Amino acid sequence: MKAFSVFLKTVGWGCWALWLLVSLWVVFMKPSLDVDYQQSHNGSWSVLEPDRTDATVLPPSAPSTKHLWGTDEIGRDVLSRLLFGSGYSLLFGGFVAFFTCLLGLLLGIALSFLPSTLKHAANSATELLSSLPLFPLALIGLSFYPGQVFLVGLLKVFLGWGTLAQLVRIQTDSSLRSPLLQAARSQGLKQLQIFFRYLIPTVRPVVFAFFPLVIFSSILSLAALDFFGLGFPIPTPTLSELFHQYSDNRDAWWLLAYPLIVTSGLLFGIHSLSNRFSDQLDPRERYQQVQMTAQM
Amino acid sequence: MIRFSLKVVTLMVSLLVFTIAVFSIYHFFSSAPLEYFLVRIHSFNPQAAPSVADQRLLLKQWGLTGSFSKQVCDFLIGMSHGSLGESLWTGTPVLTLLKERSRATLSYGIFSFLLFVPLGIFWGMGQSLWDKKWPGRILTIAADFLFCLPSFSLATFFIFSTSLFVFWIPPSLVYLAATVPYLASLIQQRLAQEEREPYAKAVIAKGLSRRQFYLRHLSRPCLEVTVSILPLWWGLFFGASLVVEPIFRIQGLGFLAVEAFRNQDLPILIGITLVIGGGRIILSNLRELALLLFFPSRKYGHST
Repeated sequence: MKAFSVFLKTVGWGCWALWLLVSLWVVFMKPSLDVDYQQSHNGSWSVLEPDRTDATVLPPSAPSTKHLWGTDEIGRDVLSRLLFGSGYSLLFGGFVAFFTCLLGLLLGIALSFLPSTLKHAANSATELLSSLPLFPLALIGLSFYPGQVFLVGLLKVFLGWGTLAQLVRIQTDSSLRSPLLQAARSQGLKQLQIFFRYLIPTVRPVVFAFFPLVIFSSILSLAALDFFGLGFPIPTPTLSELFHQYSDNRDAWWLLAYPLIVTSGLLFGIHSLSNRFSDQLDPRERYQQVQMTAQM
Repeated sequence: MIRFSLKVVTLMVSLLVFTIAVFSIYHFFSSAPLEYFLVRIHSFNPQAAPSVADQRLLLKQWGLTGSFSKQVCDFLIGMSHGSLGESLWTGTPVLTLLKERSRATLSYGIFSFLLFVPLGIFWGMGQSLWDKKWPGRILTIAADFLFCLPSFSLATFFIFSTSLFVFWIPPSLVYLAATVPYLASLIQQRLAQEEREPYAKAVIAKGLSRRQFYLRHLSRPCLEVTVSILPLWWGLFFGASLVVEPIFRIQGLGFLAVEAFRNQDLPILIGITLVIGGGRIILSNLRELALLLFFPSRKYGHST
């Protein structure tokens, strides 16, 4: 039973990683793929063309050997669109997570060096910032700049860094009070050396655990906006456009099943990765795991 | 009493700053709102392009004549008199619209909250109680799966793939799926932490079964977690309502927000932002008060 469970986990993680790599690869390689394709295939259909309509089938067509996951309501390949949609979503999530974590890390460390009254004010400000709801603000922004997804990303970074900054500040505060840092200071270490040698390693687990969570929430927010046609401009492939098409084609089960599997699978993998990071990088959790293993 | 007064003052200041922040963001986006709307009106009906005098009147009507600080003050004074402006397209007061539409949203909210608390507590307790056994694992995987399932996909599945349900059950199920996994996961973490406490080891060593220990000693920590998650629930619920209501055609605040976006009716969007964000700030402060009043252990540094 245990072997079966391990096998399932390995297959699951393998499929997830493969999907992730391929989706990112096709997005990065798209311009060169277009040229290669035109030179070698001379007009025949390819999975690497998400926007191309296949005129030889009646859309939406069920999965077949030509289109493994079927076609959407205008004859575009579902597999191809989901592959590209995943890639774009991951890129969006990655950029948002990178800037959120960078801002949260730097400002979180800076906050812990402030005097206590200013620190209190900064805490209230970050709490206030995290109370601002993303979706209505994104709607306000998108009503002026339609199709500008970078605006949603900007808003997400602007509203998201506060939570990480708070976590980093708490961690830095406790590190600054620790005997290790006091000893380092008494040894005459410079602030920059203390920063890179002692502070960054203590806040690293928090940032590593937070990073996939931001990717997760960014993909979710983008998918929700795309569902209403407010995210990427048409005809960019997205994860949620096929759900919308399913509402007009209720017999086309592949327009619901495959997007559902891909979206939840992608998010499930990122969520599990975040859990794994927080477990593995937390020394207390590791210590408890070692203790439990020893007891067993 | 002093602490309570301080909390109320903090709440008022937070709401004031929040309102100014929302208003500033709105002005940041709409640097030239009049020109923008004139272009839109003109594109719909070329005859409707207003004259210069009408433009001035419109600017005055929308409160865009003075400096930014004056506009903020006017907006705040209007709010203190119970006015959030008027819809740009229908002319209906925003507050009236919000009152009308909040009924449907709140009725779903109350119903799903009443299910959310017991379901989340029992789910989290089950996950923790059967931690290393199959029921616990199944509950954990189900919670993780629901956590990763976008609300719109579940809503689409319910509305188009099933016709067996009573009309109000599918939206409530979607709301529950969007909120319960958070509570279950936090409760599981808290209970696992409680089980490592010396008192827990002592009572179990004295012969109390784990199940009895959970029922007798851990209901209070569960309630504490539930109270602390209230502002998060509010955010999650309204986040889901913005997606679920247009799908199920529920005439609530979420549907109003999407309609307002389509009509580019910004006063309504600002009103909805204030309701969601302001409600969250009020709930955060109420949570702090409730935790101080009903869970005194937090005063001594034991927190969720």
